[in-house]
Amino acid sequence: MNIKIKGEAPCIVACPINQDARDYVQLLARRNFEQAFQIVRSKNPFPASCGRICTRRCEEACRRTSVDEPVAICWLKRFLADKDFTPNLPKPPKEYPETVAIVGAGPAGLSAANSLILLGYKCVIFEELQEPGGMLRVGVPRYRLPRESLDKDINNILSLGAQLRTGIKVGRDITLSDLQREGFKAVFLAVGSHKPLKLDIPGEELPGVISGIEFLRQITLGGGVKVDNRVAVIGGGDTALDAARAALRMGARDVSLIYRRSMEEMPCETVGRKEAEEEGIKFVLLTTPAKIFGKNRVTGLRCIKMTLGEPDNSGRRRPIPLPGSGFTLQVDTVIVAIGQSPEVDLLSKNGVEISEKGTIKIDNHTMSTTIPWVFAGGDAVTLGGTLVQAIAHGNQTALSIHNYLRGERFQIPVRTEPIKELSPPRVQLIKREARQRMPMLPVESRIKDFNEVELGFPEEQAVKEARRCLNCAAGAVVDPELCAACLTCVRVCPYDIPQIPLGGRTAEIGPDCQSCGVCVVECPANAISLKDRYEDMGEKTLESVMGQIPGRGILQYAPTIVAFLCQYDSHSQTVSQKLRENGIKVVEVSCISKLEPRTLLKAFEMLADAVVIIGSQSGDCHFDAGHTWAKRRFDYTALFLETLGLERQRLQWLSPTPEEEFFKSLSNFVEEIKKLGPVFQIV
Amino acid sequence: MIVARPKSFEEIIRLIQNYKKVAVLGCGGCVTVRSIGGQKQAEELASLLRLWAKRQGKDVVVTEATLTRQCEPEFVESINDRANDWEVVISLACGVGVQCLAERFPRIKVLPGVDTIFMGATIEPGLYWERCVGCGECIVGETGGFCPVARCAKSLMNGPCGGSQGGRCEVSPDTPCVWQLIYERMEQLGMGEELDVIRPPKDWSVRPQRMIMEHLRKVDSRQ
Repeated sequence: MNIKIKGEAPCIVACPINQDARDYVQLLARRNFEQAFQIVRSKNPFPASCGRICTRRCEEACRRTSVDEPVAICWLKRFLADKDFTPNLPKPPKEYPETVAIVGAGPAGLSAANSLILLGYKCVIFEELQEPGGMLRVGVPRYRLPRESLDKDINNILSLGAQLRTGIKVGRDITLSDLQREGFKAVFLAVGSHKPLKLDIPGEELPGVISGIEFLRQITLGGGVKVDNRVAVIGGGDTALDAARAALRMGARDVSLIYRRSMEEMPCETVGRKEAEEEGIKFVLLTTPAKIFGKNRVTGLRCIKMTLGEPDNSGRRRPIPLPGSGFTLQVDTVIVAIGQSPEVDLLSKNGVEISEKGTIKIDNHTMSTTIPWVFAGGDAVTLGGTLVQAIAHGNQTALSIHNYLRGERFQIPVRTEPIKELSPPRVQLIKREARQRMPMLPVESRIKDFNEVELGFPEEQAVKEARRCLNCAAGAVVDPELCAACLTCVRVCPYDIPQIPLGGRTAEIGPDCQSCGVCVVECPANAISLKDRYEDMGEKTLESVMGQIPGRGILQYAPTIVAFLCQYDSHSQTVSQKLRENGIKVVEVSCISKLEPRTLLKAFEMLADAVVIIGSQSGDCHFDAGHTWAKRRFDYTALFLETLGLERQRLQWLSPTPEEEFFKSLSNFVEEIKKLGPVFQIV
Repeated sequence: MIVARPKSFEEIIRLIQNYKKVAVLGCGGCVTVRSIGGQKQAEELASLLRLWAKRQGKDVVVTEATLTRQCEPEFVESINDRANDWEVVISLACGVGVQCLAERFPRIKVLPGVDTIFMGATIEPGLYWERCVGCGECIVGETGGFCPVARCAKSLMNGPCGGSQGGRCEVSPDTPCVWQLIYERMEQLGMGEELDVIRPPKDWSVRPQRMIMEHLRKVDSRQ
């Protein structure tokens, strides 16, 4: 019945697991943290990890970028994950008899276990190392992903009932046929990509040369790795960056990162790269190593300068050596981090087909290998994939295994198209609101140990950041059956969103709607509503707070006062607390522009003796036109009260700042209402 | 579109003060479009009446409903079942809607909640202006598209009068003299000479008007 917006918010479409970023950010903005977390967890079994190290395709796609900067979606997820809510996951609709074997307790394997258990299957996870986590544990240093955060995610998955068997390498200790004989009906190979690639240059076998992945693994597992003063790290990916930053923390004085292309082509994350620069990592760009020197130990690294030629298969410009540009770096340790490949030899012997790239060959939709009951995903398939890609593979494979075991056809998920960019004239109408900065450990102290560098948003900062979300592809919808074609919405929208399609009669409210609520209130036919299920225009909250009115004291009269409070104000929490201390019922709304006159009247009907509206202080208003509209409805409602013969003071408009003045006006207001006595003389 | 304005609350409560079962009925037609008598206004008035009654210590049940259009019998039928519970109905429709309700529910006291003032257009959001009186004999084809019946204070057929000053009507300086507009437009159209012909007085006689669209009337199947 409602006109559906074609297309989805780009943040949701861009995410490999289609995480409902907009929805949890909107809930966070309303301080509904628990519900927001549950939305995250419903699709993402690694919220604490993802909230730290995700590659944030959502933020790349964020439409706020054309106004100022993207919403810090990833850090908001981390804020929710750090709140330690217990996941509230739906019980499986049905228990199935089959047990699935999962090989590898990394993010792909654990995500598959999570989804399979929720689908009603039992799982056994085989892990070669003594602890689960895969690359997240041995490849990501603690200063980016603390063990406690990782453990929290993993424990939440394991507590669903997956069985974990550590110290078992499938292919070596147990074969695929053994698994079949043991009664497993399907196997998911999520073995990761842990075998380091080599440079193939002279001197690579010298002591003092180590692979990035081995270096990081030993730091985590305690292999006794040491670094000397001068360290060269070869590579431009996240592992190289992590190895360089870890080397610094292990005591190296001078760390150079050697990369054959320029900064622009570096595949590592921008945030991490900036942090590394702050920490003093030297970036030696357009350089490639040619030879490692040393007798019993590394003493130097011969390098050649490069220039960039035509783009290669990866779309990046191909580096070409510059003749006669050789130079030597004096180094004591060389860390090679130019990529990893999966260990597939043993699996290949077990009959699993391997691609030319050395990855496990799969069908991209069903994730099944050339053996029908064997599936594969994660880094073993993508090589250097991302955490969220691994989770996506885990989720997708679980569904595919379910289809396989139930004899159902795998349904290729329908891809929703993202909505278009904001049009330039509309960008001008949207208020600029700076992205919140992540609080971080100071550089001097953070390079001394492995403590987490990014400290996480405090609550107020998280809420403020979440309120920057433009609520893309959500917003208001018109019910064409109720629409009177009056054009009011077209005329009142501060963002020029509603449009009458050529030859049509009902306005279409497009995906750029900012959810200010002005049209919802002004629509005379009650035909417009906000699509978000968490948006109540103050009505439901009013009902719930008024339900708590205690019986009126017989001896002493205490007036019932309702305050409608704008959540966008930066000290709405102080204000809210002060109001509650004064015994005032508080209804928080995300902009007072959403208040209908009938809602204000309803407060009086529900026995309020007075109503006060507290907008945000200037500068905090997210919808600049919101105040103007709210003030008009305030005046409109005030006339109603006048006609009832009610004192004008019973409907008040207060500004939350300056604070002292607000507190003073508030207490004056309460005193005045006390003097006026109740609206109704009720025995 | 028909434009109305809300009646004063005092007038409404004076008319309903002796009743205990009151309904406020909005109309989904013209008065909705003008934000005067749609569902939201019906809810607001009902809310006000409940507050008023409670303050008076009166036990009054106030309900509200909104009909698609009060001027159509089929839509009026939709409240049949509920109408038994009402003693008095306040209609927020134009004068036509109020009368349709009154005719359909002879036992119920039907009151207008709005004053119907004119047929007019939206000049800008929130500003409506009279354009037609429904005189039954449209002449705007001969007056440059401006109606002197609706827009001249004297409804002159041969204007302007001496009160036209600087293009404004002497009755209100906010009102343009329609005859000035007529002359300007007719000149612009090259039809100024047509205004030299004196227009005879209008026939104001026959009221009420009735119109029959024979081809839309019910067919009696027994014939």
